[in-house]
Amino acid sequence: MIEIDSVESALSGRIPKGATFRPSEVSLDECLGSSQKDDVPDDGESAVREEWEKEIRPLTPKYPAETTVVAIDSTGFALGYVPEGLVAALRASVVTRLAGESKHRLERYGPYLIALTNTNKEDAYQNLYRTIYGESTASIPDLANILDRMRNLFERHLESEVARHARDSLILLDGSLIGGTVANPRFFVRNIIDHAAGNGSSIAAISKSTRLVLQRSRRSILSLLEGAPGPCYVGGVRNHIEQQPERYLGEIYVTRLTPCGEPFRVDLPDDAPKSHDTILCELSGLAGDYGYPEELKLAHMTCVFSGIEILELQAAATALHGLVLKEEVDVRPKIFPL
Amino acid sequence: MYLLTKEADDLWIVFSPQEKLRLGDTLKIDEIVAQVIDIQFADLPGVLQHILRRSLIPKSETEERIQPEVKSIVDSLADQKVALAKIRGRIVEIDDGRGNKTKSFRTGISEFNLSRAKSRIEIMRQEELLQALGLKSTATSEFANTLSTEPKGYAIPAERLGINLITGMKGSGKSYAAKKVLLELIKRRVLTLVFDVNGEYLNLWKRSENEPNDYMNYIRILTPHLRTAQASELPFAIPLNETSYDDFAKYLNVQEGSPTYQHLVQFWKQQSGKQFDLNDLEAYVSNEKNVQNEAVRIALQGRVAVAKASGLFGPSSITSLIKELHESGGAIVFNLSRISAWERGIIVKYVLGKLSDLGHSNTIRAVSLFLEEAQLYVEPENMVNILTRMRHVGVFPTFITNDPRTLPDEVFTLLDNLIAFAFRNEDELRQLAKSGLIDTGTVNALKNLENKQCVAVGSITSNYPIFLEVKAQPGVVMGGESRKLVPSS
Repeated sequence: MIEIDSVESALSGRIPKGATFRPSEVSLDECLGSSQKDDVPDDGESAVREEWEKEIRPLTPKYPAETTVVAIDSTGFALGYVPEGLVAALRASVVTRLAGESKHRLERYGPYLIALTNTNKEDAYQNLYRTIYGESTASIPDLANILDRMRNLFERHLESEVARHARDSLILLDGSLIGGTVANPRFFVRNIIDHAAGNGSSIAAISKSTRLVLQRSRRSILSLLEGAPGPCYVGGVRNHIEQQPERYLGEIYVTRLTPCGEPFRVDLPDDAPKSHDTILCELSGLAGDYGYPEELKLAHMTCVFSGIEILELQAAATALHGLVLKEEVDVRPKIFPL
Repeated sequence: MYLLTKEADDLWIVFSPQEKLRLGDTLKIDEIVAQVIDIQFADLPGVLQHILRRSLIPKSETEERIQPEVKSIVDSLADQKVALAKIRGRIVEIDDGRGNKTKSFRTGISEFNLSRAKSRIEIMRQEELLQALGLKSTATSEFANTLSTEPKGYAIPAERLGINLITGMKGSGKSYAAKKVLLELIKRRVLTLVFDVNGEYLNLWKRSENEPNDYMNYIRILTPHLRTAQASELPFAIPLNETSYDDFAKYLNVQEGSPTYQHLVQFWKQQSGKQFDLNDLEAYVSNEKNVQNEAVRIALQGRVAVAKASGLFGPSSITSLIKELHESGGAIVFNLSRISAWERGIIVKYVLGKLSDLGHSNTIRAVSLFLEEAQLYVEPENMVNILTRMRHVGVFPTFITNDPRTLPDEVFTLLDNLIAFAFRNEDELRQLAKSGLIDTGTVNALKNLENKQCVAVGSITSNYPIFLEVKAQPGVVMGGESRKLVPSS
């Protein structure tokens, strides 16, 4: 397993005992957890000029049986709220299929309980940021975003460790290869790419949705493949991004990996050990239902929390931090019984 | 533990993996007493999805690093369980009028004042339960331990044995338990007669293959066709003068009212009040003066020859043996394992008749009678006779069978005690529920019992079903003479 002692200790955060705790509502038959990823600079949507000759190329699926495939994903969930803060849980999964094998291995990190308030959030975030990136940040997210940022740091750490240790592999990341945002320093994303390349590994970052939009129609770039038959892709998107294209540390593709699959954005580093065409064909070979790579799907499904786990974690949080449960009474059904 | 719901006399109680609860435990919910008869997982919404997601990658291929503070609680909700507890009654405090208060068990509940939030649920201590039931528990109770979170010794109150049924599927431990009951009866100076069709009881007087135990002087094995006595094993024969002409005629298939039958009647009348045997009968039928018709004579001579060849008739000390062991307590085991069904029928009928005579004449006060797989040698109407009439002459039967369906319904109606071991078959379970001593829910719990575990209910448990695990019996060879196809290496 990946060494994460220092990250684990940075993930703690204490709150005063006896604080009231308002647990988040949970539906037991839902899977819960957020893993929202940045795929554009911090200032929102980013536009892509449309005036270029787009070539939609077909993909020939090739299952990379002799290549190790590693997929990483993480999730975070606010278990409930305390005065001026929240208690949350984080978990990450690393799913590996070794070269020449068909079975998958799972390394799962967490759940980790973190308590964040207006009082401790700066220390908690700085501590984790410094542990992972080795430097401080001037940009402390507000409480509404801090959980997602901390989850992102945690995931970046695992991605970095996988890139440093996996050899001759295909490493699948959930999200994009954007660098230079407040949560994703350029040097760190660059290091991930370089370490992977140095080990003969190719990185593919896959986004199920994107905020990159076409300049005129304001439609998502994923619409570029509308009407195109079969597994196919279109490349060259990065060259036509209007704002800060240099922040995108890889070529951006819109792909459909299976004949009836959904379109996804795929970022591939420029200096990947394999050609982009080969990597896309291998991704197509790995794709299962809805055209999403099986390993990433497993990584996602094994890290999100079930409703049952959320209830367990709420109980654990209550015990760990000595919280006093306070059920929020919804007066609506009382006032309007019918 | 929390009370979830009540359906009829069933309570559903939710408990966490940290709380230990097992089949047979008795719960005290405020003053109400309920017994755990089944344990299931709590049926949580979403649990299927939860498990399915966990099963995406096999456990063997999964490594997890969980925050230590969280570890103990992970999976605790998915592992929440629900105990189905049957309401048995309640505990009441009884004042003897002199200020002494004792706790006693009462069946039924006419009020239901439990609270889901406030009712206190706890596992009732076995000593407290047994005391409330008026039963003894000592560390040295040799029969069994209660099947509960904190097992306690259970001593079978032999004085409460009446009409008993010990049943369970093959290999469940019923014969073992029957032998333990038998040994307890010997200790309590009760005589037990055992019809042993499988040779199960032949070694009870031994400590090991070559060494007798303390029961040697109290156990006699009566084996038909045995020429000479060997240790505790004695030859068994039926004295002709202790059988009636009618029974003899039936044994040898002589039609009632026929000339052959008439001559038997004549012979028995001539010998009335005297000792006689087959030789006397042979001499009688061979004499042309007695039996003038040659064909009848030849028929009678043939019957006598068959009776002689069977080896079943001859001198016997059975009456004195019964009288002797009735005084000291003990067991007479009729070894029926190597004889034909015809011979079994004759022996059983003779012994039952003998017991009836001795009972009627007050020679014996009371004896216990063990009938292993009675359907093999007792007609259903005779079983009913054993249950009804023989009880009045002090014969208390214990039926031991692996198929309760072979017993007539009267057995279940009149049963005083039931000791039931594991069954898997629904038909057999349904048959047991006929006894009225035990409810269907508890009967179904038998499916989950392990070897030597049982439910005892009836007078011996003050009608409270007690789950037991029968203890090993030291110093007694409990195995019979069954052989293995392939000896263990």
